[in-house]
Amino acid sequence: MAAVLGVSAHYHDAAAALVVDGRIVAAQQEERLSRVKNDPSLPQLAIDACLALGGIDAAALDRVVFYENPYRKLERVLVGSLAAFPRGAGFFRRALRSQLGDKLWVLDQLAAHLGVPRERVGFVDHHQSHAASALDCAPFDDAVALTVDGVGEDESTALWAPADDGPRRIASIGYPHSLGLFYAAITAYLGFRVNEGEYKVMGLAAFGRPRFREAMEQLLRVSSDGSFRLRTSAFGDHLRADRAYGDELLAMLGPAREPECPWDLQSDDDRRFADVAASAQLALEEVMLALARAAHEQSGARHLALAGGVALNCCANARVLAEGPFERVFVQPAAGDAGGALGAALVGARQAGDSIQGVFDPALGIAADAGRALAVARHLGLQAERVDDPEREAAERLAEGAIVAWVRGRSEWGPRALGQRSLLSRADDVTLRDVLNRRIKGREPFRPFAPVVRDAHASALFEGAPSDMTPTMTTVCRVKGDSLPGCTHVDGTARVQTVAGGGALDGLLQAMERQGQRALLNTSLNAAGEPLVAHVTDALDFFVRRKPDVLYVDDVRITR
Amino acid sequence: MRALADFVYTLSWRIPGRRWRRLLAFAEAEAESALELRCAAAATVDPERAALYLKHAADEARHAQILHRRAALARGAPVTLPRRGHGRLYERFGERVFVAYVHRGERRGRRQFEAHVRFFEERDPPLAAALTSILTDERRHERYTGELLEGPFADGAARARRRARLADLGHRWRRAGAALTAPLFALLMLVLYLLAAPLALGARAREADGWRKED
Amino acid sequence: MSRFTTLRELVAHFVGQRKFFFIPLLLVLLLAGGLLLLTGGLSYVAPFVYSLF
Repeated sequence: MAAVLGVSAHYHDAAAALVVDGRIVAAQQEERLSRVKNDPSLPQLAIDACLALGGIDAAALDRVVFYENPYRKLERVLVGSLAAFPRGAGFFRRALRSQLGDKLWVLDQLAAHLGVPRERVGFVDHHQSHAASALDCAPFDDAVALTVDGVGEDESTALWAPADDGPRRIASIGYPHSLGLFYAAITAYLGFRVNEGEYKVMGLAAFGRPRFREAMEQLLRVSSDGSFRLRTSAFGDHLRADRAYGDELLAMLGPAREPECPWDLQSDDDRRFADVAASAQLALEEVMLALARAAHEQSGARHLALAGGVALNCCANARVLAEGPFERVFVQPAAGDAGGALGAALVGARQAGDSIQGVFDPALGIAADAGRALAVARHLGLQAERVDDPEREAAERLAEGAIVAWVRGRSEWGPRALGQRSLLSRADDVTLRDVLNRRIKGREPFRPFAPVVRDAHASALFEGAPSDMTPTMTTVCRVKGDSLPGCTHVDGTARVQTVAGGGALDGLLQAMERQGQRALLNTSLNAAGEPLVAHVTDALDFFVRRKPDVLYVDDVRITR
Repeated sequence: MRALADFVYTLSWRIPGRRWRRLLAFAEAEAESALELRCAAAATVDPERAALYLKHAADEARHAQILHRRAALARGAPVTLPRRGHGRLYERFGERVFVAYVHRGERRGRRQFEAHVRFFEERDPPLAAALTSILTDERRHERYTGELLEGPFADGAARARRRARLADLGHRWRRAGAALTAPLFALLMLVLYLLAAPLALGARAREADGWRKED
Repeated sequence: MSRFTTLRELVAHFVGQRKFFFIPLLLVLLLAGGLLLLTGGLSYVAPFVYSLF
């Protein structure tokens, strides 16, 4: 019986997770508390929050587990920069500054922050932590884990079998061949921020045609055994600091897009960029399918658990389920590096002799404090009062066309808002969708929104729903009919969330049904470039600056 | 003294090509300040102060947008606002010293912005007008933080101001130190890289191709 | 003192990989890293401070 803290940090999406006696007690991304998007820094706030949620002191921790081997990482950095001699000089300088100044000492930093002996702080391999987060949270056994990301210590892709003391590696594909770095380069080429803009590329892809398919096949070659190879020279051999791609890629695809320029999909240039996005998306999907087939062949498992940043590509996940060899597919919702913290804690727990208990529930973060929201709102000059039936009242407002900010319970784990920190509106009104994109969230106009629906109505409205991925919005489904224009993307799909019985969101959806609406538009409670809100003060900050019509924090209604 | 201070504060505006970079740096500082204040609002136990910090954060976020736009105008092309995190001041120092630090920063910012407004009044009236709108807020921020130090944080305010002054000096020393160390470190790394060249022969990466199977 | 544990683990990693030739380079790098520690490390943020230049 052990209390194990898992931590991810120093690259992007720092997080902490706490597993006590084999149960996941808390998990929190640092960005939600520090308010720094994709915050990579040592997650001190998240660590403190997890300990508080678990009701334990740091001294009571049996183990602290970091999600990566810092020594293997340093070795790969050294070897990679020397192997590229003399072109690796700049990379050598930058990478070693970062490694020596900070990253190498992460285990010491953790010991110091927690006040625990350094001997109690250890690490697991990066992809193993991803695999554990997927396998131990999946709602099925007889599974293989496929982990796909930019790069861990020195691998970008791996297959894992479950084992009592943590996932066992079956096979891997080594750096520099990386699907994550391929997609990141395309993200940067299209003018978006890396590790943030990848899902914008996915959304943009639906507006294009894959006419750069042949170019993508030269950049990313799939072998008959399901492995793949990247044409690294087109990506600057991953050595450049100023951009993630080389001149060779520009020669193949044309000039890159300037960041920050407004989008106009009627223009020739932006249509070309949409075609590049469509081509890259198709290439990624086909590689993911090939990897899934290889995973099945090498493991013989019936089901698939996915993790690693590339598993956030829900269009690819949908194809893997529909066209791949597995009966069921699950994606741990914080599939990126944040999820590594959870996986590290789970491996640590297993190594301490615990078996993993309980059904995975993504509401793992800090709780909402309605009393505090009431008090602060009044000091901000807002109207705030407790109401008897917030679900019924919110449903009435939503039916009238209001945009409702909804804060309930413990905050979500992972990038998607699942009803704990959501912005809601009618799903059948495109005017509201445009207001949300332009005025409230400040996003690009091509960005789609996602619907939420109760399990009971999912199959009537969507093909392939519900599934193991729909509760956490990690897949897309084709929309049946045209009743949800506010949430249907231009290609006829939606990243649907399905809700099982019980809970405030289910109550709200039932109240909406009485208003004649079976689904709602559900988007994250944050503006563009900002993390999802966590504390109620962040929700109030959003409410004041971005001006949705009403904010509910549990049973407190806040208006202007 | 004021003339000398004005000269120092506005020196770089006179250098061609610096204007947009400096405006962008200001936008960055405002954005970081907004993050600090949002964290403070979440952490403070007092709901009235939480509301004050949120209003302040909203002002800083608006300033960041104004200055970001101004930087793009000055450059004549879009510019990306870098995101670098923040100093976690509330977490490190506690609320009393945090307020003292903010008060000090706002007072200094107010003086600097007064100089910038005077500089641009004739040279670039639209920019002067934008900076004036920011200056109005800076004065308010200086005032309310001063009131907090004389009110709820009066007990221990003098010590808090001293700690804030030391912290401020420490930050600026480290910022200067980092700027000085960077070229020295870069040179050292270049020399080491060249000396390590023979290792490159052994380290020529056999590019991992295809699946690597575990035994 | 916990940094000595890290140093020990670091050297043990390279010894375990039989990459002994990296160890002199590592030692020099760690000395260079001392420079960074003296100035507190990396790119530095300073909220509520407007650059003078």
